[in-house]
Amino acid sequence: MSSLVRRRNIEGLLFITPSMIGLLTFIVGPIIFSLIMSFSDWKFTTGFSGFVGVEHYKNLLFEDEYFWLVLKNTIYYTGVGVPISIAMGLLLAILLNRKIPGETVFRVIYYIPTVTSAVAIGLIWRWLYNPEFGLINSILRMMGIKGPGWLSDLKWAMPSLIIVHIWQAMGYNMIIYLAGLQNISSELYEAAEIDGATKFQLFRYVTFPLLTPTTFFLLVTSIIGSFQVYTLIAVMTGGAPAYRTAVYVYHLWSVAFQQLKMSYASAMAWILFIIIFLLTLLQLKLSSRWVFYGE
Amino acid sequence: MREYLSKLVLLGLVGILMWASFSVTLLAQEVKKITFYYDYGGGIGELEALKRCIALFEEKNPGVKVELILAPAGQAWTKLLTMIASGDPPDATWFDDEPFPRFVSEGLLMDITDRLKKSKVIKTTDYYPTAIKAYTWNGRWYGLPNLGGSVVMFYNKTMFDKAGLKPPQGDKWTMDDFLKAAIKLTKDENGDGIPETYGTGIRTWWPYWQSWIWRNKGSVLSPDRKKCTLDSPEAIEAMELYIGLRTKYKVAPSASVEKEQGSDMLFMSGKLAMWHNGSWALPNYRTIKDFEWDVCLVPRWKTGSIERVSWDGYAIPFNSKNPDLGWKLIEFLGGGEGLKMFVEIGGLPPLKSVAESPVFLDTKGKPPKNIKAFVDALYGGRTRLTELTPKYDEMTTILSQVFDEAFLGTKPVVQACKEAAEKVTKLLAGK
Repeated sequence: MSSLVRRRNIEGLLFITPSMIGLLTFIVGPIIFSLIMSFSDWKFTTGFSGFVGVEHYKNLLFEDEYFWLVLKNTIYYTGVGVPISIAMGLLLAILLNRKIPGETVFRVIYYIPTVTSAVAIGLIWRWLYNPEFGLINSILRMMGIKGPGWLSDLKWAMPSLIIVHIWQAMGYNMIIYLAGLQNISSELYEAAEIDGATKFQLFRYVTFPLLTPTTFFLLVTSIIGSFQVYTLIAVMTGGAPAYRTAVYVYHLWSVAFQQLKMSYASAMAWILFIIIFLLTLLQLKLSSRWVFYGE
Repeated sequence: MREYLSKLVLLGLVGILMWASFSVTLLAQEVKKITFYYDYGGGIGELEALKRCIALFEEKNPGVKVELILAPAGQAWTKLLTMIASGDPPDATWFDDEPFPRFVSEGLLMDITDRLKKSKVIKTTDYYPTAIKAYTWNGRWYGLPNLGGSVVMFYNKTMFDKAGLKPPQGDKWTMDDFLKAAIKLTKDENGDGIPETYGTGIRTWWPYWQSWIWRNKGSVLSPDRKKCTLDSPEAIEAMELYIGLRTKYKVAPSASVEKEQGSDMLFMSGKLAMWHNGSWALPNYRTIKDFEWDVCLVPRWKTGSIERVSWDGYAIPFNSKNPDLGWKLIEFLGGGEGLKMFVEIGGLPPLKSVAESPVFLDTKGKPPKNIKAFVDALYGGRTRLTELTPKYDEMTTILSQVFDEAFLGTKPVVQACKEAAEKVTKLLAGK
């Protein structure tokens, strides 16, 4: 290596040092710390007081009914919310991919929820869901339907949250799909049309296969994001009613900061990591069956 | 050249002056800085009163400067927790009974028993027993009370007058009297199934119904804190009445009305007749213009008119770097002089001499007329931490999970009581 190259390398390293230090202190450090914590008893007063092995993990998986309850809630939230929000994103993208008057305005309108703070969204939707004065039930009443209590109803609380999630996520999905759509060469459509393909066939055999990489990307990132939802739940329901809307990370926060069981909460965090990791791995494995990268 | 020279001289002079003044301050007094954490729980009025209080403290203790650390909105105790965990705690802090169980059982608060016993400012016998014991754990002190609240019955006198009913008679009333009045005052005039006016309201957070169980001679936990006694006949009877106010007698707003509108709002807008609430609601209710209201003790049951009392307080983190000055500050704030400054914002002082003096009792024409009820309620009252265990917060999660369905009317109250007793007892038995 010439001295010039070496100097350049050193300069380069120096340039990234500030962000490396930040990364190590605020991200990598805490991750390692929480891993160690999850195998030990850590207290606010005394710090570490000996390792307990896998006890926290064992308790979580075999003793703690709340662990399974919140996991079930999270799977419900993700399982319903993610597919619908992706489908809605695709629908919006197809509708707005044409030259229609004011398409930019529409795109902005659908994208705004994505960049709005979750706290504001939660508060506004709580108003909309107000059983007596809220917009939703007022409209339903005009149509002669008696709306449910939404957030306070055992059956409706989780669907209500999922609706907000879909509304919030579909704008982002739309933007990604729009980019995907614009990547599809128009020659393909022309060729198919000459062969006499109908609109539906165009979608089924041209658009959809060529969008599978986009769909795959959205599926992976949405599931990860959805497993980690916290703010919306904290603002809108706080787990009520009857802990039916308590999702994994909400419960984790409650264990860590209300029950002060930091070690236990760290173990919960690592189990969540493993779950997400395995899910993503599974998706990668399965992707070869349905994702089409061209040629 | 001359210009440069004069500038240089000037600069030098300024430098000397700064150095001189700096060293003079250093010589004159060693300024001690201490920090005080405030959770922003009581709104702007409370903060202003606290600032005035601290200014007075600084005046009386030259050389001590108090720096206020304000909690970020919505995270009252998380920041304090993080500060303590990172070894950089405030020297003293505002506190309340919500985080107390977890903080004290984790050992995050300093034992102040010995300091309190030696104190010349604070004499424990001058305080109401519930107040001075509000922050005790296994017989040791971990905090001092400041502002209190006792739960009484607020009632809309205009509604009673219009209905031709005699207003509530405090502890001369029985539960039957209360229920009868509530039924008469609940009216659904347009017949849509949603009443326009309600007799009363209920709340799901367990400290609000805990006192109903106490009043019926029951308890949530056994005296040794090893068993949950929610399945006792007394507790079941109390819960059936309390939840029944909504599900059986329908004199309290339904769950969905409660969720977004809330009995508190309904009371303030003149649509709810009797509302069990604490003195902390006073500043808000004093803005009511459309009707006349007053307060009285809650109706008596088997054990009389027991209600919940709650106290905010002051504490010192266990790893405070300046415990002596921290103590001096909370001793001042929790003593008579400091407490007087909080009375005007509606707080109920824990000191008998202040609470039972015109400082608190003379409302200068503002409602409620029967303000003495708050003080009377202190004598029979208990704090919710009367039934305190190290697993308090986990217990709270279980109780709200189990009882939410009973409050929604989808699970029989008896079943909820039995389920809760079983789950909480199991929790208490675990290590």
